[in-house]
Amino acid sequence: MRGVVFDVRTKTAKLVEDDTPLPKVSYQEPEPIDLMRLKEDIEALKSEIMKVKRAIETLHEGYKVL
Amino acid sequence: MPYPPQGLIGGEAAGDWEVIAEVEVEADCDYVEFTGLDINSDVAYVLILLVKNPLSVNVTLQLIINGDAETTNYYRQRLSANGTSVNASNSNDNYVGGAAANDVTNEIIWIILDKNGYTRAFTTQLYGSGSGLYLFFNTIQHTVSQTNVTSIRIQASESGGIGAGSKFILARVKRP
Repeated sequence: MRGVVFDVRTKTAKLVEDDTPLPKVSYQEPEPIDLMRLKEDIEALKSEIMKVKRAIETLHEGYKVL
Repeated sequence: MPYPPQGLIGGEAAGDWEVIAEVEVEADCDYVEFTGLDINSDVAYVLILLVKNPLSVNVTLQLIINGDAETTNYYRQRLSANGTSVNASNSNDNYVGGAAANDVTNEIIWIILDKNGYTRAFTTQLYGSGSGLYLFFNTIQHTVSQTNVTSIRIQASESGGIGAGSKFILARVKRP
């Protein structure tokens, strides 16, 4: 590992490099959620759902004519 | 020394801290450590972290007391909030926070040694940016009894996870 060690008694910092491996970490903070992008994705999904709804209504009207 | 120390609780000097170390990282590294500490004399520490994560992956930061890097020798209670989403958890680890990929994180950590010899830390962290801004609170207890706190390390989970330009400021209770 490579680290900075600061001794408060001497007020000196030194760079330390050795072969010690990084500690294993099993936890990560969550990815920040981009709420604006999420809102845009939901709006796009709503638009697609409306298209499908209109297509079903058209089919339904055609079925009634038949 | 008056008890309670005036810088810690009440008194005219309430809220006064004395900066004893300031480190600005010159090149990407894995940890920053403060040695030569004496919490019995200093009463409490405040560590301010201004960390830049230069990596394209998230980096988790660990708090290591007196060189004890055994994660399971610590317990952590966490409370996080983003928008109306609030989460809480308790885990057997020493993770004080993290920085999202190519982002910064800002954190304040208060550290004390309780009367049973267990180091306790309380952290406030701002994580993420914009609408992805999170608020994190963590309390951490080191479960190995100690007679003093002589070193404090902030350890990154990824090599080079603490980027050049990151800043660490350590303060102790200011004595009258």
